[in-house]
Amino acid sequence: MRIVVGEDSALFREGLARLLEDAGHDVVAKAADAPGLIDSVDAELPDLAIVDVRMPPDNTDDGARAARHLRQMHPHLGIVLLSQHVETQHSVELVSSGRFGYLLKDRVFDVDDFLDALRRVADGGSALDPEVVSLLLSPLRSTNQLATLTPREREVLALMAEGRTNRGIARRLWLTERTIETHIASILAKLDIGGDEEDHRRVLAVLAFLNRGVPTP
Amino acid sequence: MIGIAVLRPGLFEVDRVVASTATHMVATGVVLAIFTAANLAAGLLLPGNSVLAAVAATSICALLLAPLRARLQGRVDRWLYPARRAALAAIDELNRQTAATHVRPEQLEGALQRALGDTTVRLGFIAVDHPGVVDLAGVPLEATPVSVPVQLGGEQIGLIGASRASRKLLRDVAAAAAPVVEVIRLRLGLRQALREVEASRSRILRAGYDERQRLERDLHDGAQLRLVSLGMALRLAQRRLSSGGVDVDSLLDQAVAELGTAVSELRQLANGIRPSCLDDGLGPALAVLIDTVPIPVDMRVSERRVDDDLQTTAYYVASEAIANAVKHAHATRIALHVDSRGDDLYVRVEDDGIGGAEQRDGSGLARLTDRVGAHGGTVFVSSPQDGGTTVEAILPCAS
Repeated sequence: MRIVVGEDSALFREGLARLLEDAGHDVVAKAADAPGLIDSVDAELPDLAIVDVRMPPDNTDDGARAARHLRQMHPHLGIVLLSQHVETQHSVELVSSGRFGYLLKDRVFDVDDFLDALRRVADGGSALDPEVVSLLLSPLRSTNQLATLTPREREVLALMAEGRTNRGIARRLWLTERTIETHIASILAKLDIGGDEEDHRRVLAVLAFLNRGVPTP
Repeated sequence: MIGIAVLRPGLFEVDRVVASTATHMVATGVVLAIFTAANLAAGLLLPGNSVLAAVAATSICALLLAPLRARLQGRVDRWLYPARRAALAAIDELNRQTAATHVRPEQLEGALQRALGDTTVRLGFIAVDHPGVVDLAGVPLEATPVSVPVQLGGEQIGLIGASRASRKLLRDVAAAAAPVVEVIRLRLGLRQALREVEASRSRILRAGYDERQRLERDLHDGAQLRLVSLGMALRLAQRRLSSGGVDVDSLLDQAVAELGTAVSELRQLANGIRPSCLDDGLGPALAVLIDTVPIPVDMRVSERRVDDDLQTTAYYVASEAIANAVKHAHATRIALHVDSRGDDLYVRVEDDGIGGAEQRDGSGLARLTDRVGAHGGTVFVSSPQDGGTTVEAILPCAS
């Protein structure tokens, strides 16, 4: 993959670039602030942009704003936002738009899983940090419909919300893809979500369902 | 009885009765004159219809009478019924109504204006803790052609002014109004003090939030990110181990060095939250503080053991004032003096810098004043434009 990295901490930026190159990817540009990131993407037209949420010039959510802008300008660009903290409102909304990822920075510790998430997003899928998903599924915001799921189904639902494919979920839970498909069919029926054959779109439907429970501030 | 009343008109307000009677007499005379004149005119215009003439004349009289009576009453009042008495009666009335109804002492100015028939009468108050005379809204009182001070217990508490009243009259009114003026003044002072406390409370709250935000950023962007990068570097090395291209020794050296930096960042952060050396007492903590200051600090500390909150505030005063001296005043020497005076803890920081420091909202000095104020203490800042700044804080030791 051709990747652009936008991250203001030189330490993290260089480390990440080395990790990506080691994994066989091509880091075509590295930017240290939001305007630099947008320029690099416009110039390089990469497959994927990895963006730190907090970047100069404002050091608030410049990265997230740059990501929204990039999404409009480049509909087929995969975008993964990296953050230092868990946040549901914007992350879920962005990830629900597809071709989007929102991960905590320490996910890089699990290198294979991290690279898998990047690959998924570049291929048109999504990646939502497990911590965000567990907030979405927390008892505080659970709907009655969620309460009808079995523990195993909840597990499968969480992994779906993270953006994983059926095969990914099967591998993760040491189950066959066939069993996973049965679980998913049951989940979709219980939550009353229209069954879509395509993995990615089904994930978005699940996210939309979970996000409906978000208490609006 | 009547003799007494006439001889001492003030006693039974005979002059007011006289004034009212006189008004009625004059009014009646004028009405009679108009009525006769109108009747005569109507008789000439409408010959043979005396009833219609009488009705017309009566109507004209009624129309003229109402405004006429009010005017006459004013004239006669001024002539026969002295302004002084009207003003004193108004003050008495205000007092009575304040006690019994919802009338407020602040209505004194209006009451005096009405009693004296003079809208230029103004009352000014000397605030409890600010010099200068202000009106009810706190705006400095404009000078009037005539004005006399309002005094209570030998101290000036306010001012009464007007554009045409006599000085003698205003003096009498001022003497009678002094207790009410004092009540108004204290009420204004109390309201002002409450406003200041509210403002300071919200500033302290905001400062707390700002501090938390700064801490959150420092943690996320400092130590946390450093640890994440370190973890990533270790993973990277692990992946390269199999290919044999990794110098494990130097990699571990780098990793430990990164860890050391992260630990020291965390220590600095924790120290910013509360200097742990304060556990050893204010003196030792200040000694550690001035070790980090790049210019000479002449320190004299003699304090008895005080409670932790007070000690932390005193430390904060010293560190904030010293930081200002180094960062903003470009000082070359600082004198730090801490000692207990009676029941108070006294902190004084003096520098030889450029001076001209201001206690603007949101500035370090304003935060410092709020913090000390929260302890019931006071801060004095002297920072003339020609150089040198002195910050003094007096912190009462609650015992």
